Amino acid sequence: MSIQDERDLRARLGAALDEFEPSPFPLHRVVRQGRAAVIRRRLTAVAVVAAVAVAAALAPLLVDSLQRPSPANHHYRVTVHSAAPGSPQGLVAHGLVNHARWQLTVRHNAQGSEICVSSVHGYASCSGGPPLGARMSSPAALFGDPDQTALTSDGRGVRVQMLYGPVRRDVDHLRVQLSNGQVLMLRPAPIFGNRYASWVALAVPFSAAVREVIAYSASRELGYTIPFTAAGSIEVVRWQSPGQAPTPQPTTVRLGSGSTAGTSWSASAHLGPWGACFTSAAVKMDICRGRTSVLRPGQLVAMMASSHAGHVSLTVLQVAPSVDHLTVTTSGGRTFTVSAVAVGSWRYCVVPADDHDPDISWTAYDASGGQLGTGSARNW
Amino acid sequence: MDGAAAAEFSEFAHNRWPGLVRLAYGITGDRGLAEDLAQTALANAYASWKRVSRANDPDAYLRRIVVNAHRGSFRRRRVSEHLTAEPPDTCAPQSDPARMHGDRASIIAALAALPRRQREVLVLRFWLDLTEVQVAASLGCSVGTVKSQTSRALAKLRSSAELADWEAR
Repeated sequence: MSIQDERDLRARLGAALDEFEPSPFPLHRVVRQGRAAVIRRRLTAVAVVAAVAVAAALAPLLVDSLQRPSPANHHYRVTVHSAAPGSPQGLVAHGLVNHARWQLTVRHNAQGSEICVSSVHGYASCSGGPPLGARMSSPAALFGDPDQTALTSDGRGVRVQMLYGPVRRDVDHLRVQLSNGQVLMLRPAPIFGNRYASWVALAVPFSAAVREVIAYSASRELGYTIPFTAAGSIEVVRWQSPGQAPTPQPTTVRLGSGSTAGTSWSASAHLGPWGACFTSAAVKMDICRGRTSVLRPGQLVAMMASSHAGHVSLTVLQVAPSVDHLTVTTSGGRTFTVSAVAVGSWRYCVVPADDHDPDISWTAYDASGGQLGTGSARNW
Repeated sequence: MDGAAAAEFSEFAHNRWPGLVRLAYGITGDRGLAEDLAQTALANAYASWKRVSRANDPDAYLRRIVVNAHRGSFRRRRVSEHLTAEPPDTCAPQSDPARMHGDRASIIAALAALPRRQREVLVLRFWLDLTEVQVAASLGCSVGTVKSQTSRALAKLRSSAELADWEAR
């Protein structure tokens, strides 16, 4: 390949991309999505542990009843080897998914201000600094990394999903039960020294699920979590105390569907011991919150989750028990109604918005048509 | 985020938006997805604004998010948009608008036919004019990988049906 070819490529790319005109900058969407990211990070980082131990005798029965619609793939085998003394710097763990090799490494970035996680091969995502091992409120802060490619020795790619994160200082090991019945023991690796939290990592097939993770100290159980798995994404936002009943019962309810700006969408709520998760393939929503309720006393609506793709955004709202439906009016003059849907003991609704007509206001009504209150998207 | 920071972010994001969308468009060949990726990058920047605003190279941070988000988007991507080059009008002069449109579509279509990593390398290296070291940092891979991927990508482009006239130039 000659330099002439590279020049030609530069010229062609320049002509194609420099003159490509993007849509106007959607500041309000960016800010809304950014705020949602902030909320999600906080909720993930500060997982809920405080709880009262109840009905220990009932827990096993309830755990048995918790089988959510599980992935079809039970025929797989996973191995995990935690980093040992002498392992490459930053290596948390490595292993196999069937015959495909995976590994996870964590390092400081060049400035030392962030930590960068490399799953399987290459690509790193960086954020924040390493947590102090003694200050974590939950036994582990586990993050799902949904779509990685592990390679077999003959170069074949296998789609896997990762679960990794730091663990609290008193955690000796995590016991992980997979959807194929396999049980794995994860030993934390002290990547950044004893002052900071040690790390664990695990890879499973894309279509597999993690049924339960139990954290143990050297002498006792510290807590357990039942992750939510959907579309290859493992979400851990809520830990329960030992013996605490895994409530609420798993429930999946479709919150709504429709077509907005030419995009067909539907959105669902999945409540369970993992917390409250909201999914919508149309806007790539896959958001979990540790709490099923975020309403403050006297509040009529509060935002649970929001996601945007193409020219459509969906916002899931929790509404007060008295709210039957919302009438939504856009700045462009469109008016439509969204009904509140009961999911377990709570009520949610989903509000679609169009990029071209984004500013909306709402009026809440009770079942008899009485007006309960008004507001706008700016204050939910 | 206080008022001053919000204004600072707004100005920053407005300025970066076109470039980010173009970068993502080069990588994806899909306008909708490109705007999604750019929006995701800026939303992440909003969420980490204190850190981003103090970073030595906030653009590198945004590039990395776009690339990483692109990887994530593969999983849930909806129906993708396939660009098809218009048949080139060999009799038309270079300045002919129809010919120019065909050229633009054909390079995007040719890029879209490459593996993801090769697409990313070419756009970062030859459109943004990043050094191989910068490209490696953006993609989280070694410089050697950037070189090998660049070489393979260029070789594929030479034999690309969408750029059939390229070799002859």
